[in-house]
Amino acid sequence: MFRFLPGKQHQLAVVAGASRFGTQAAGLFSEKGYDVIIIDTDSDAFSKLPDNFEGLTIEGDASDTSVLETARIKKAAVCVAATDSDSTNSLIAQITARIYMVPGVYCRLSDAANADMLTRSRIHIICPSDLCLQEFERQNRLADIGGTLQ
Amino acid sequence: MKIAITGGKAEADFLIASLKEHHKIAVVNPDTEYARYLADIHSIPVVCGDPRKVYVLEQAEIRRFDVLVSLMPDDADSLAVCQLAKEKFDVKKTIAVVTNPRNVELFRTFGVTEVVSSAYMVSQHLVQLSTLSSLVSSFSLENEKIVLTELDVSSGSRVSGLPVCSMHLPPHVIIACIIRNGNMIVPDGQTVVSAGDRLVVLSAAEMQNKLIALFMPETGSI
Repeated sequence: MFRFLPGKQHQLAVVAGASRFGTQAAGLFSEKGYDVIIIDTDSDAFSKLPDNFEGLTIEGDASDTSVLETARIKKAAVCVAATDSDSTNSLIAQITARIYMVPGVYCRLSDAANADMLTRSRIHIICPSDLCLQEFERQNRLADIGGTLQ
Repeated sequence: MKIAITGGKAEADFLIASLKEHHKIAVVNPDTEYARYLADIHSIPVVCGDPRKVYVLEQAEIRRFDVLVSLMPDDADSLAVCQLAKEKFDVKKTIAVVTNPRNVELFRTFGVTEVVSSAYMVSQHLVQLSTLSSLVSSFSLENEKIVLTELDVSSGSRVSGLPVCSMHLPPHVIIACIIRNGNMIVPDGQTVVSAGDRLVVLSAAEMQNKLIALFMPETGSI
């Protein structure tokens, strides 16, 4: 379903990959008033989309430029590469940032060891294990202060 | 040259076989069974692992290699391998074999030196074949060293209207006979070839492509 609200210019967010992260991000964009298009090769994956999602779904390979163009990638303000493959996310991020000049590109990587080449192209990296570690450090520090952790 | 071959099955096997004599080869293959097979059959060390990982390429010692070929089944993986090799290992040239022809231009933009798409090549080959099959049939003699080629002269052909002596035939080529209206003519230098003729040409095998090129219709008239 797609809803146009009168008198308001909507920004377009393209989410590549209906993973748990991808679908939640798509819901978040809907909530913030973006037009959202989410792409996945597996149409069943869209069943994970949350109730607050109000965008369009496209069944296809988001690393294929023709599929991205169907999703109006040229007009996108934000693109999130959230498939379950690091290589595919890296490719999608490079296409959207370097070929289509999308201003905000986010790339999910489970291994961010070689991400410096992407950050040079102004691509934002989201690495779950890094985030996990940061959160662990934070909680551990709190626990240390409280004296409950040896 | 120092050449790294990553991923792939039969293609990797073939490349290793044809290159190992004269080059230093490093092989990385993510498939355990196939890595073992390659190591056994070619008697070379094979690193079994994911070539997208720095520590795997480090183990393969590909630093400052001349060429890396990526034969990964997923195009995105091939790009990742090529970019890693170039960025972190100073590999001079990278070659990616891709399945999606749209990735040819794209991957070059992203720094891969050479991008090969089989679909693209097959389409080129088919275009050529469909043009040729209507014009040429051939027959090999003496272990394929000598070929007998039948060529139909079309009206657009470059040689149509020319005497044999002006056709600039390549060396080791002789027109054995011309079949015109069902009659056989043994030509000499002055015999003029015209559209509708069928030529039977005896040549060295390596000259066949040049010969066919000579008889092809001029560009634009196909």
